[in-house]
Amino acid sequence: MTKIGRQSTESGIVSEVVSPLVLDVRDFSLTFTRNQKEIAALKQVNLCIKPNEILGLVGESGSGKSALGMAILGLHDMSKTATVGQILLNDTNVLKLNPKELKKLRKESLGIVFQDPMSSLNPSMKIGAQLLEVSKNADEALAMLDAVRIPNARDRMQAFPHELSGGLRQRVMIAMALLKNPKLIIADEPTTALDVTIQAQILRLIKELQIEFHTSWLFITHDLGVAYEIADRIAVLYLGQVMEVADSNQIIHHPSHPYTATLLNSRITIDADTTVAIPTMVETTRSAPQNIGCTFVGRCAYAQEICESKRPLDEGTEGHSVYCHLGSTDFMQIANSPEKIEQITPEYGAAILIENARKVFTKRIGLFKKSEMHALNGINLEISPGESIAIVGESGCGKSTLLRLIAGSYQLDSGSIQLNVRGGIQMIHQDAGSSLTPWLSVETILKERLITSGYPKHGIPKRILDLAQSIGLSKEILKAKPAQLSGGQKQRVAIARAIAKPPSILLCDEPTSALDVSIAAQVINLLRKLHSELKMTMLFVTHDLAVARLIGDRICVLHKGRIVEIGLSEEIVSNLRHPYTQLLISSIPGSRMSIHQNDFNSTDSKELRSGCSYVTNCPMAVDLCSKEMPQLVKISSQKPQRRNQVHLVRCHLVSASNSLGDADD
Amino acid sequence: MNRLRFIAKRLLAAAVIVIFLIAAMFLLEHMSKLDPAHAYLGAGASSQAVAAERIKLGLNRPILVQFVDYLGHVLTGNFGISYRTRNPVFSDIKEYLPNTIELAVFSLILAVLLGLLLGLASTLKIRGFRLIQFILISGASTPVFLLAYLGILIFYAKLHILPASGMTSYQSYPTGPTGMLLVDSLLHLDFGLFFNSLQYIILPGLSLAIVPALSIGRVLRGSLLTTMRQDFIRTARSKGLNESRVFLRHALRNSIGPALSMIGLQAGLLLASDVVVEQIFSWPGVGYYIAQSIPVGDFPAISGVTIFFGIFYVLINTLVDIGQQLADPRIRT
Amino acid sequence: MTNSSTTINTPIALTSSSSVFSKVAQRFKMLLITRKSLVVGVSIIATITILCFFAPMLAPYNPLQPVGTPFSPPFHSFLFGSDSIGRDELSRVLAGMKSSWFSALEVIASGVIIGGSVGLIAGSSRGFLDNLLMRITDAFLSLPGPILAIAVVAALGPSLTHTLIAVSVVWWPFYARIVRGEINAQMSRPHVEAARLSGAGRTRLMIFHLLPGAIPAIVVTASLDVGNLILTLAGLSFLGLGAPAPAPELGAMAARNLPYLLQDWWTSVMPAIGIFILAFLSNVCGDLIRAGLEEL
Repeated sequence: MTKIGRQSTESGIVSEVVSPLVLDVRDFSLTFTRNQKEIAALKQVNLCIKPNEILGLVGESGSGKSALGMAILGLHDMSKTATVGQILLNDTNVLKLNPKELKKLRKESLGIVFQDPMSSLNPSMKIGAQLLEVSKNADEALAMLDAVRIPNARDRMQAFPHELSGGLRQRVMIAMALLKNPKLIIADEPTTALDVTIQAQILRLIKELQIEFHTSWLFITHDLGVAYEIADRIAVLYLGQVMEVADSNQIIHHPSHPYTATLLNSRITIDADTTVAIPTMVETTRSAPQNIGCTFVGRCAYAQEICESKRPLDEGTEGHSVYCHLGSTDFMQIANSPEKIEQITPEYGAAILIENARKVFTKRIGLFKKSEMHALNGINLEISPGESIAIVGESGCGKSTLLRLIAGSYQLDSGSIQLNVRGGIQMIHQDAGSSLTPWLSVETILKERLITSGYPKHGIPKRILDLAQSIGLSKEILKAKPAQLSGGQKQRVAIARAIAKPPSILLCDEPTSALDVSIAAQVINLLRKLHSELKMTMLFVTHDLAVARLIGDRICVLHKGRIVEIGLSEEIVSNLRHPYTQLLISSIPGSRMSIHQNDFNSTDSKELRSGCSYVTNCPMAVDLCSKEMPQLVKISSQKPQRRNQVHLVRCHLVSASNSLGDADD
Repeated sequence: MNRLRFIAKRLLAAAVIVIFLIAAMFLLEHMSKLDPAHAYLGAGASSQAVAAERIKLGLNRPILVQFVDYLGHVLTGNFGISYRTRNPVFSDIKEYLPNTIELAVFSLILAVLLGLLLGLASTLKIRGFRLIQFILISGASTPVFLLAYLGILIFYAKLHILPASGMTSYQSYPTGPTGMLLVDSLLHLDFGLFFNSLQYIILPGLSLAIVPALSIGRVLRGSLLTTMRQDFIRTARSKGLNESRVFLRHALRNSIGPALSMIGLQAGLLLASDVVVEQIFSWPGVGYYIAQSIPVGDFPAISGVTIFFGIFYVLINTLVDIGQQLADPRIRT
Repeated sequence: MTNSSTTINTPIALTSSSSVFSKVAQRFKMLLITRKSLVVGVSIIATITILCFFAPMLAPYNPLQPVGTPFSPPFHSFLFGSDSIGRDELSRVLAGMKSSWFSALEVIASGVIIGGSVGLIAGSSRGFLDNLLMRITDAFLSLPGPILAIAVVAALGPSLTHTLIAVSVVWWPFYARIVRGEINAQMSRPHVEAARLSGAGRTRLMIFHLLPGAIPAIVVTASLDVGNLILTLAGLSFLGLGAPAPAPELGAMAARNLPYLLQDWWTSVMPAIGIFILAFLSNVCGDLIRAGLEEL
């Protein structure tokens, strides 16, 4: 097994070949102590980054990916961590440096971009001043802001971080990292906190900057799709152990490690089979003690005895490392037959009828002045009993407001919402943890729901046990408090509460966006199964069109409080007409589709009184678009069975080419 | 523009609170066991005389009329006549107030400086920071009179380096524009008097300053530790900045808010301690005046001082609020 | 409204054979391991309370009667010396500590109950009621509490009860503000929306889903507040706003013996040290309890 610039590590002897590598991590282990317990966060990690290369470091939560980033920067808590091995940055072992040398190293050769650009920038310091801490030259700083495509850069120098949008803030962070002209930039989930379309912009920007500045990047992410989009090579990490390192195309198309393969399979893609459940990881009975054995053994369908007792070595080929006892196999070929998901036909009539719903949030600014935020600008929607509809849009489009209006948490300003509710409304929140009362046990939470919905008292204990079983929760979990549960378990408890007495309407507010990919797949499978079993009407809010297509009979795309496109899922995906929907689809990470979009609103602050809400970002906008708000018009590619299944689009370009349409809003 | 509006709003709120305070004082005066008519005439007065005095004082009118009257009086500086000194309360307060302002401002400045120093010192892991932590806790537990007593016993009785009573040993001094000895002596370029009165203010000033200083220090330490865990501190470190710059430029500015509100809060406690300290050091201020009034139940004097102190406190806190708004750009609207 | 204990502890085919006692012991053991500082802090406070309660029995002499020569210095015939009429200083300080400690606890309790209720109602109702209650609270908070208390006692006439009432009147708004803040934070969490959709009514929401979230903050604030209160009450007592003359009150003792400070320092310093000890211990416990609740 040969690696670039390095000989075998098996014997522990590292030959000092002058390597052309920017970063070379050799047999690096990191153990930290918490509450007197030692936790091995990284186990004999081997990685390298070549000059002018982007390495995507992919891992789920707990994989140790951020710990590695911090260790390279020397920003890990040295008093609580123990490290073994080497981290060579241009042949300097970072781990051997004293604090002063580390500071110099960070100042001169390392850049960093963190996940949350808001909390990573000093809130009380102007952008310019923060940039000038890196480079004393104001012109250079200004030029760099231009380089990261920040419009009106000169004015932005005088702005405070909270005055910029999330995307702009992240551009500032990138500018700050690039300003010292570092050898390596470490980006720790830099796009996770951003909207999908902004994420696509930032990813494109990083790619362009890499070419422009010849910088190497360590791009840490939980999303294989994002890594595929941006990285030249990808390293996959699981519970502190490297699973596989290879060229991006190799990893995505020919994964050779069982973990990578299952991870890829449980990703929801725009062309996923909608009739079956998403394949997910299994739980096995095998387990490996800390520090010996393969970390993936507990969830590996192919695990053998040796996997429990011996850490696998690189069994791959040149340029494609695979840490697996099974050697490198193309696991994409071995497919297990997935569970069928029964499709149910919605009934006739309306479970939810929304007519011209409007909601304005007012915020007092100053003594007399108020600022208005139009969350919903007249929504018309008819949802049939038993139907599932996916509401798609980005933050601020009004999708969560719509759910809360239906749930009765907010009051409408005008219009009406009629509900045909027999079994009540329930809601699954994005952050399952905070939707569970922290100090009540799971059992109490479930019991409360049963008591208040009038379930016969003597039957409650049995019902709770049945519920736990059907939702995939073990009995022990009933006694636990929410904080003791994992993310997936919390979401299952929330689902169990919602269906304890099956509601006629189930509202889901991005229930999977905070979960790891493999867990998200399980939750989506569960929700789809429950939907068809319990015949609930389901509203599923998401920012991901691929998830929307899988779960919704129909998809409804919202932009700035208005429906811009609505129709049957397949129809929307295959025959989408609105430029915004197009942008959303092309922004799905991993699709490697790139379409032109205007990065910025030219009239960022001012709300347009008339005209299409998307006009400032629309690459195809014509004069009319900024003058008049388009109406929803019918697209008649095929005749739908139901009135509410018609494909509607709100766009002047479509109405011009399609004179059939008459507005119904 | 928005900032001006914010300041106007704060001042308006302050005015409303002062009216609320005056109303409370009026109500308390009515609940008081001591009949003002009795108080003015003395215990031996006949019942006819008391009744006549009641009419003279307007105590037989409807309560609302009395309140409007009272409010009008207070706002025009008429706080009534002290039972004890038989002078108008307002002129008594006018005489004593400069001395109290001098002492309060001196110790507040001392407290802020000491507090900042202690807060910074206890956060930086310098040698002896555990000792400072211990001092912070014990200081917050010491009654102000214990500090004063120890000060007197050590610096006056034992070491004979600081005086323990009064404001100056000078018999005559210029009655300057402000009425505050330290300021007036400087204005009159009388440095002898200045240093003399500086000696006299040190013990009462320190006794007053130490408790608030430690509270400010404690709060600053807490908010500094919280800020040091924030992401932007990590960013600053990743820039390779010196730890001192990270601390001063990035952490301190974002931690000062809670310490500022603590200063406002401490100003109120300082006023209460001021009464005790002026009593101990025979400092001829408003606190001394109110302390003398308490045993004889001189309510006009007590309520007059309360209103004055209330206004002072409301003003300080309004200033702190405005200062905080200027310090944190996020609060700006 | 269902009783909380039945709601939480009803067994559902999961009851283990272990007895209630061993369960409690187990719980305590866990608590001791995971939240050591909390347990230590609470234990010290409990110990002080018990000691203060039995303080008169620990005192060697009657605090109100002369028992020896006046102005006997400490560590001779009396551990803390004797005062101007020959009463045992130690016995008087112990009695004063009992009164100080329980006075502080009473004010804290009234603050937590009044302030807590106001905060809970304001925080969970929003709109007009919230505005009204918080305006009143803010008005109180914007005034110097101890000075206001002086005026209240002066109007009511000096006595320990009046002092406690006066201080309670100015003390509750502090708790109202904190509880309201905590409740408001809970209100914006999705769990309240989820509980409401689950069918929980207003009272149920308040008791089961909102109030428990504010308890850690209340406990931390209250425990850090004991020291403050002891000092404030001592200050008022120093000014003569407390129990009248022979009663052994620490602040009043320190004030009355001021004339003897330079010759017979212990008569005024010892009571002040008594206050310091109580305040110091409660501040240390406050810090421990806060640390205990904030870790994990």
